[in-house]
Amino acid sequence: MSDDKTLSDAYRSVSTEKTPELLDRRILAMAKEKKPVNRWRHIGLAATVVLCFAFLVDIGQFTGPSDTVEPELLMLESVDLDDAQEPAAAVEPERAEAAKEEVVERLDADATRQPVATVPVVREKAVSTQSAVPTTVADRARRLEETRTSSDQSRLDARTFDSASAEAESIRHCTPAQTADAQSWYACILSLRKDGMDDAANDEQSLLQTKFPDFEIR
Amino acid sequence: MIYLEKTAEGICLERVPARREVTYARPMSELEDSALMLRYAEESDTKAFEELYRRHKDPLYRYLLRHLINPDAAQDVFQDVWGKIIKSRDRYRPQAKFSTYLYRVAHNAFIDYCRRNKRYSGGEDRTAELASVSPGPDQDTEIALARQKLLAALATLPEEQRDAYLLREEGGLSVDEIAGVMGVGREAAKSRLRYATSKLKQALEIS
Repeated sequence: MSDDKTLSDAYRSVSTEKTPELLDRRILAMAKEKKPVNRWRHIGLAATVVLCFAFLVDIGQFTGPSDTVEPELLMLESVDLDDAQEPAAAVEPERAEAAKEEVVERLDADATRQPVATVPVVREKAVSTQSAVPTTVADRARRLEETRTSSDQSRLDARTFDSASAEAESIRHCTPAQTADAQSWYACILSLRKDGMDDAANDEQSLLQTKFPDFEIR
Repeated sequence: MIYLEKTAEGICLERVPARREVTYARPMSELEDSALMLRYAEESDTKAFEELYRRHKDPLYRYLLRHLINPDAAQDVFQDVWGKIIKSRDRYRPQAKFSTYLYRVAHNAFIDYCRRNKRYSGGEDRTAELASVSPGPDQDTEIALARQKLLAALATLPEEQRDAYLLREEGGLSVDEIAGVMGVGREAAKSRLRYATSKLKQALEIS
């Protein structure tokens, strides 16, 4: 241990170099220089804040109450062609074809429809929220079209009819209670027309005429 | 403390709170290295940096000079080290002693310099280079001879052993801190230090 101290003392006695003054001045001058302001950091921070704000505003627009989403669109989502059941034996081919055409037309119209100015704002939001919906509807329309031109006509006709009728059944704007009798059903149709939902009213009316052929529409 | 106060109604006692002890800012010379560095980093207090620099400049310069021998090279690396300390002052965190941080930066700067200038990494030319360094004014004295002998012995040490020894002598670092700076285990650092000491003693004929 004392040897170490002897060595250390010997080293310290001969190791006496000092830094040149010029070097000292240079380094102290470096230390006094102001830090360069990193502008990119501020720009990046500002951009991040703006993006976050924009994102939050978008989220706030899109996440409205779920019951404001148009029920029609939600119902369209739930339709699955592959789950269609086999047709009943007593199906009339003309009605099946008519229903099928009607659904295809409706799906085409839905796929290309823009939000109408007269439609309430809530509906517009619902449509814009479901940005994937037009694509989905278009896909369904295309699938229906492909189904129609398939080689296995009889089977596909049956499937298409079934899915079309299922689609027609699922796109309902009047409740089962309202459609129980012709009078209340018609009142529902009138209220739909009053709300500017003419397409829906036409659908319901055709269904009403099918179910109650004797009912006279004034 | 209780004071007596004479009033119109008579003498009343008044309790005066003890005088609050005023704490004055400690002078720079009493502050620790980490506190000085933080003061410089956070408040851009150049006085704090000057004090810090004053404390460490000469040992650091000698540490580099012993490694590099050439004063110009030592000054280049020395400036590089302090430049890095100044530039990265915002990132300084007082997790360890400032000297450990400083010598780690210096150690890395020295290694970088050796990589860039390969002739400093080998040990063969060091003695020759040491001899080529211009002699000082006290060349003929006994101290000068002892100095020459010690520096020659240091120059012949393997780089790791010399580094360990200089970190202890110039940096004043402990074995653990030397291990941290060199990036090796405690035992390796201890072993290097022991070998260096032993060889230097032999060279200087210290029994």
